[in-house]
Amino acid sequence: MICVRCHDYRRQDVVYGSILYFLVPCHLFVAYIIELVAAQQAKGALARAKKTGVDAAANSSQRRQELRAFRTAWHLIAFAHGVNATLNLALATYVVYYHIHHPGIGTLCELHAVIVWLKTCSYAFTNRDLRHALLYPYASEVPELYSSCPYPQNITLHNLTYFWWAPTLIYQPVYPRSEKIRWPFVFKRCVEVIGLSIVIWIASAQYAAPLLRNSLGTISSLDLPSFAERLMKLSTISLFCWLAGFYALFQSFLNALAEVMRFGDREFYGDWWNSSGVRGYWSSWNKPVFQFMKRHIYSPMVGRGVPPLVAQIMTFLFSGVLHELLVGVPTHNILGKITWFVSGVSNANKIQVSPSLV
Amino acid sequence: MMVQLPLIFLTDPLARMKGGNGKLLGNLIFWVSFCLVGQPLAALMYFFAWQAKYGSASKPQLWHSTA
Repeated sequence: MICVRCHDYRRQDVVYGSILYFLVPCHLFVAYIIELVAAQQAKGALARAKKTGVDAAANSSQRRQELRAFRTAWHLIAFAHGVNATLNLALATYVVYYHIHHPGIGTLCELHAVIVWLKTCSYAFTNRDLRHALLYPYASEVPELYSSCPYPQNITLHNLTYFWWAPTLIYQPVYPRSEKIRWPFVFKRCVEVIGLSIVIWIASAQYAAPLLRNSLGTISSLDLPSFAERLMKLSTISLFCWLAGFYALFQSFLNALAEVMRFGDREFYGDWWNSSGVRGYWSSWNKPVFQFMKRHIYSPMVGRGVPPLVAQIMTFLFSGVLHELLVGVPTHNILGKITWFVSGVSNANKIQVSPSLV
Repeated sequence: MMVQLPLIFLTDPLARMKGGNGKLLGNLIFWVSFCLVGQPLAALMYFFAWQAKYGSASKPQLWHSTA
């Protein structure tokens, strides 16, 4: 049943995949150049403010003027970041959808593009906040941890490269770091990744694929009882593959990467298996993405006065669109099923919202 | 997938309930939906859509609409 040689993929897929692999991170460095310009602009603004004697004791009209200037500058920077980030995601999605046939290669490319896209967004948003804190220290506070690398000093290639490889989606100028790299630990995690990948491959080729193939008839003939039977039979092997994949990615791979990067914060997942509801599962199985959503989507919306419930729906919708990109684009089927599924988690208002999106 | 909607209504208050049984029931509902509805159905739907679009060596019966 299992055959290494007969695994079929086109040469074109590998060529396009490799091009994307090198092209996608370039957008992170374009974001760096944008931030470099923004930092220069902020430094200039700070010097001007010092010269004219505008300080914390400035009156309210002056403050408002300052804020307006900050916002104008931010709109320009945000436009540049927006074009750069959107280009990354749009280009990768276009190539994967139209030119990469193999779903596995496509998923890897799309996943890479989405991760870099989220990182680029976080880099832009966090630096915006840091710039704001630098120019108006009376308005916002910077965490104690960042004091070793205050704002304009963090805009360096070294700092960005660390963020590029760090197992997180949220940019911070400084992260908690571990003392040294425990190479035996890295070795063990790598063995786990390789072992589990082989196990998943064998399990899916030997058990899942035949089951999927012989379930097709029950869908096309709309034979519900036997469809339910197939679904239940499929659930065992899909759960097995999912758990093995979850462990390989969130425990083994991310811990190995974190160890090599001496990244201190290892909370990549919560105890979703104990969650007392469906909502608890979605907020704890994938902590890096959940934290991104909370930090850059949910909290800013609530901070701007959006009711928490609406903000939740929007966040879930956004996450649903991302899931759809990750699964629908590589399989060349934008079904909207996952969007529906994920966004359904929030509440019933979604019934009206989701189908229009799909 | 529609099953998820009443599930949220059902499990949200369960999670907030004092005492062990509410949380246990919520966890149970989560696991059943996770195992039966979650991945197998999504996997099957995408596999079906893929087959409908590109076909395969082992052809099942004909169908008229996709998904």
